[in-house]
Amino acid sequence: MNTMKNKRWVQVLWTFLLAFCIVGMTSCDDRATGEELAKAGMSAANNLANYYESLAQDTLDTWEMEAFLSSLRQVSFDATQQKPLQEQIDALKSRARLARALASTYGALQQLSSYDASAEMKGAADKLAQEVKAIPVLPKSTVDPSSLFGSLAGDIAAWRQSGDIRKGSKLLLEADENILKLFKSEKEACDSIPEERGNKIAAVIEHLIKKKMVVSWSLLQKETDALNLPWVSAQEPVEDNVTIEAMIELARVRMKRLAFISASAGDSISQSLESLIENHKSFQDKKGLNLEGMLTLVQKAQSYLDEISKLRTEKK
Amino acid sequence: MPETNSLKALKDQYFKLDKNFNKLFSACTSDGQRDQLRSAYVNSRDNYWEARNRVFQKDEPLVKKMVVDLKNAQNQIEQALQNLQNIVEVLQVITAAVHLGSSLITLGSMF
Repeated sequence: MNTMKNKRWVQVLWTFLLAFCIVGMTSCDDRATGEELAKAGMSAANNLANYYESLAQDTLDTWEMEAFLSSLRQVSFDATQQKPLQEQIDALKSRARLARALASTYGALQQLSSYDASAEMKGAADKLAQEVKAIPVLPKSTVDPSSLFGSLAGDIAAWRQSGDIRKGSKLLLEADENILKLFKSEKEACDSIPEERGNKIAAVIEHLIKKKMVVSWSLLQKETDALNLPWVSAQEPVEDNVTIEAMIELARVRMKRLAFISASAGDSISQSLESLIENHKSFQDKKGLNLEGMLTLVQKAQSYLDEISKLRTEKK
Repeated sequence: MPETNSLKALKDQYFKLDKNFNKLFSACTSDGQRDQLRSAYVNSRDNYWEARNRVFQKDEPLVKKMVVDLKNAQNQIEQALQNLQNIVEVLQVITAAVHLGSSLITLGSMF
């Protein structure tokens, strides 16, 4: 009878230990996956913030160019008419702050995921068990509870941490869904900002070239350099009307390209957020992640934003 | 989506006038026509800016709420990490206390 009872106890004990081992292994996977997801989310969020900051800069450029053009065209551009531009800059900056807050929250998730709670807890519990065992007044036992106590504490900590990571991921999933919804509803308005900037700068350049105030040959500098063709009069403005019109068209195309790059960056950001949301859902459903495609989109968007930044610097 | 359509219509009108302002201005034959062009340009520009701004302003309360929600989410995640670290710290404090207790017992037995 006693043998039967003992066998059952042994079975229960083994099941118990096996369950904790499985929990421990899953939790370790969750930590690594959570960390990967958090890193990817942080990149996507920073990307989004850079995009909004770029649009705020575009608005500022448009504002200045419009001041110049309004004076040339003799149209009004008073403080009341300028107010929507300031409000637009404020709105874009508040969205950039939102994206940075998203990045910070992903940072917190990354810290939570990278902390090895299981190992820390195991070590601390092991030490405590050894201290308890060493109390002189306690009867000495041949059983050493240290390793079992430590492992158990480590597994419980890992299980708890895994739950916390999933909870954090769920909070971020909700935030990502809301941000994507906002992004999509404002995409058209956002796309028009760099396009408008391009129109304004092209109009100003047209004026400067037509008035022969600038030397526009540099627009073709790369091409002539490639063939080692020196300019006859590199310091003189373009004189004939046909070439002037051609130079203006060239400047327009360059400006249009910038607007196109910005719109493409927006598309990639939108797709990367969609992919990030899908990955969060997979994580919640305990399925594997597919971050490769998402990270490619993030890199694509960032390379567009870097190109815009480079073109801006070249302008200065 | 009527809102999007009207925004697009306003944008198309303003961008067309902006891009072709010089051409249209050259085609004007009187001061009256030139003033009419200036007025049309300013109205279409201001209308579009107003419409675009409304898109952003409409979502502004939502943006503010989302920032607060994200700060709360960040606090919750940081708190979870803090709780895990606290348990380790508590175990370390208990270990130190038990060690001290053992030392006192050992000391007491010596006298």
